[in-house]
Amino acid sequence: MKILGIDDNADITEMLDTVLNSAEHEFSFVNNGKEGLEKIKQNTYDMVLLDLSMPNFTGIDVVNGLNDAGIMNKQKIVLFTASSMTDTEIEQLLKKGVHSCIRKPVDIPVLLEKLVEIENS
Amino acid sequence: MNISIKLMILFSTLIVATVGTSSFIAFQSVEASVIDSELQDMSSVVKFKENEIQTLHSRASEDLVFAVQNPAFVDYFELPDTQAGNVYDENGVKQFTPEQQVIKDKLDTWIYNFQSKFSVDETCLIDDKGQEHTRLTFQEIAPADDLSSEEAAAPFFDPSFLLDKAEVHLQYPYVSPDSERWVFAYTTPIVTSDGSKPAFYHFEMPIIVFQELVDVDVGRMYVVDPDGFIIADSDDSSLANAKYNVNPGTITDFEPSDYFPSIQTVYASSEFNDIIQGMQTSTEGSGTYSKDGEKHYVSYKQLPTFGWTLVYDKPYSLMLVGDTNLSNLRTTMAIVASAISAGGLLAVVGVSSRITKPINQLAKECKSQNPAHLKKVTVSTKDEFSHVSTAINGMIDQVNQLEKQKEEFSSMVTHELKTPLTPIIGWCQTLQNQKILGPINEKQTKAIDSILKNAKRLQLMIGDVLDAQKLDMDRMRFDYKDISVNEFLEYLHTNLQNVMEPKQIEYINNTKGELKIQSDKNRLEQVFSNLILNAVDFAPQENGRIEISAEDNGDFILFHVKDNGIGIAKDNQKDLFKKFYQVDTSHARKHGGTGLGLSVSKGIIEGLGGKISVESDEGKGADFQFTVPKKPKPKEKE
Repeated sequence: MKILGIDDNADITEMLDTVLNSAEHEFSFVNNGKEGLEKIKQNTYDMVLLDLSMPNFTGIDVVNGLNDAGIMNKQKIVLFTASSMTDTEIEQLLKKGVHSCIRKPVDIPVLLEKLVEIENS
Repeated sequence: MNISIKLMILFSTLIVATVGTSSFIAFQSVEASVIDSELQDMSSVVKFKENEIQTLHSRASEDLVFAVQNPAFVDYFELPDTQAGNVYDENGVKQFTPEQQVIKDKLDTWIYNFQSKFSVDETCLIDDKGQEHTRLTFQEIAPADDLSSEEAAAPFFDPSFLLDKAEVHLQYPYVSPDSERWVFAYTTPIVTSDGSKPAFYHFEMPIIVFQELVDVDVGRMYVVDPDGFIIADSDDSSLANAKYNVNPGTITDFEPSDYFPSIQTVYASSEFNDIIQGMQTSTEGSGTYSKDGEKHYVSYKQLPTFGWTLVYDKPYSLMLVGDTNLSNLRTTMAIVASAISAGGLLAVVGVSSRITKPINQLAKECKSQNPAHLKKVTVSTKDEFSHVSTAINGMIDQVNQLEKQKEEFSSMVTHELKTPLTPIIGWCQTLQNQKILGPINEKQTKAIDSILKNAKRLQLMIGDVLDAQKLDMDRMRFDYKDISVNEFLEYLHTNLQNVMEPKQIEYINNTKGELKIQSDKNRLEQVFSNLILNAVDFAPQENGRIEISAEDNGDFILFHVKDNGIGIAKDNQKDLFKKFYQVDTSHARKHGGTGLGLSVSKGIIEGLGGKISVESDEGKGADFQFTVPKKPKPKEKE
């Protein structure tokens, strides 16, 4: 699965890079939202792991940008966030075209399992 | 004490004092002026009565003088027969000559007519020897043999001859032997053409006419003689009847003391004695005395005749009689004062409730505040109280600002604390999977396990702290979803398998029947996890057992989490659900944790609308039970 990680925390993206590539996913990443949005526009991914809380250009901005560009459904947008959000708040994002949400921190086996689940959904 | 009660007491006292005092003063001044005018009125009544008495005397005198103007009187005494002296028969009976008889008949007729027009008891013509020449008693002409020759003894005999023509002597009262009652006499001499006074003419007027004169509508009027005897009394009609009837023939024996009551019978007191003394020393005056608890007002005036005094006595209750009297006036004023007071009190109640209403309303609004969502108070008045509202609202703004900052801080902390845990846990687990980054030795594995275990614990603790804060701020939000209780409990079992397995704990689910609930699955899971993890921690090393169950309980589902662990001492149970509380045993310390788990669980259950409690005994395990509403509880109005 071709996955793009967008997260301002380089430790997280590097960890994901190691884990996901070794799990036979094609993972690449950027460390800011704006770049992420451009990447999605220019490339094709199966899935985007999107952090919400990022400086200057947040995950929400990315979602809105995708919606504005009309390419929300080109790939599965999966939120990967440490923010405390209720299911209701997540649901609002789901309405905007977000596929699902994985909360940080997460157990790697659980993460891998979920990714497979999402791929098959 | 309430402000309203204070105001009421203050103003009530003021009103009652003011109205009472002013009414009292008003009544006093009205009373004083009424009594003043009544006293003047009494004094004029006395003067009027005095005038009447004077009129009586002068009219009687005029009538007497008029009567003797009949020339027959002079003719009779100028007759040579009369001038020759009285002639008596052998029985001592006065003999009249035919000439005398002719004139006497004329006189008798004249006097008869005179008597029929005036209220005189008796009239009589007496010569200077004391011989009666004609007498009519109650219009009866006395026969010759009844004419007395001893009239020189009469008290008015000598004074009568000292008078000139047309002068009248008024005789002090005596008992008339003819009319047999108290009378006073008017006498005037018969003066012949040569100026000599051969006789006088008199009539007797009953003293009872005084009784009629002193008759008054209100109060008591009486006449006192200089010796202090009551000659006439409006209050004592018996004076007019019984006491005037005396034995005939006692003309000289007419001591008033034998027949009339003393003025001392009116009332005996030093006050009244002062009034009596006043009557004796001055010709007119007034005074007051108290009798049977009532004040009496007295006005008196000396009459020109006999040194008698006319006294008018009125008790307080008869002052201002007519449509109203002073007592009525006092009652009226008392009623008016009460009505004003009552009106004033109502006004006070109204005013004080107006004043305290916004205060009470503010207190009510403040009490009903949810500390996590302070709302501005709506109490607004156009007075100083609006300053209070404004100040409170300013404070509320600041508090809300602070709350908002706290919330933002909480959200920031959540993110900032959880974010570093992501790579920690992630890298640990990546390292554990030796296929990814290569093999690691046993010590390295142990180290990574320890890092991971502690990172996990940190994750849980962060969760607890944040939840506790959310509960504190009432910011915990719930996501209600339909949950199959049976499936949920099975899921829990599966999920917590790895925790229970190492201690070989037996997990028993006693739930019977299908149960459904609409609640927050994640939060319920959190509560169960807390309870089950506690149970696992405190379970015995062998044969540990955890029983969970759910049962229908009306609008609620009743859950149990029961273990056979070390149990909780009764003393410790009441604090169990308090924040940061940990049962202080060595075992518990080993257990670790933030001490927030049960407090958060309680907050969640109560937030969902249920209740949580524990039944336990030391060494006998613990039974945590909690209820959860089947339907979301209605949101409180905001």
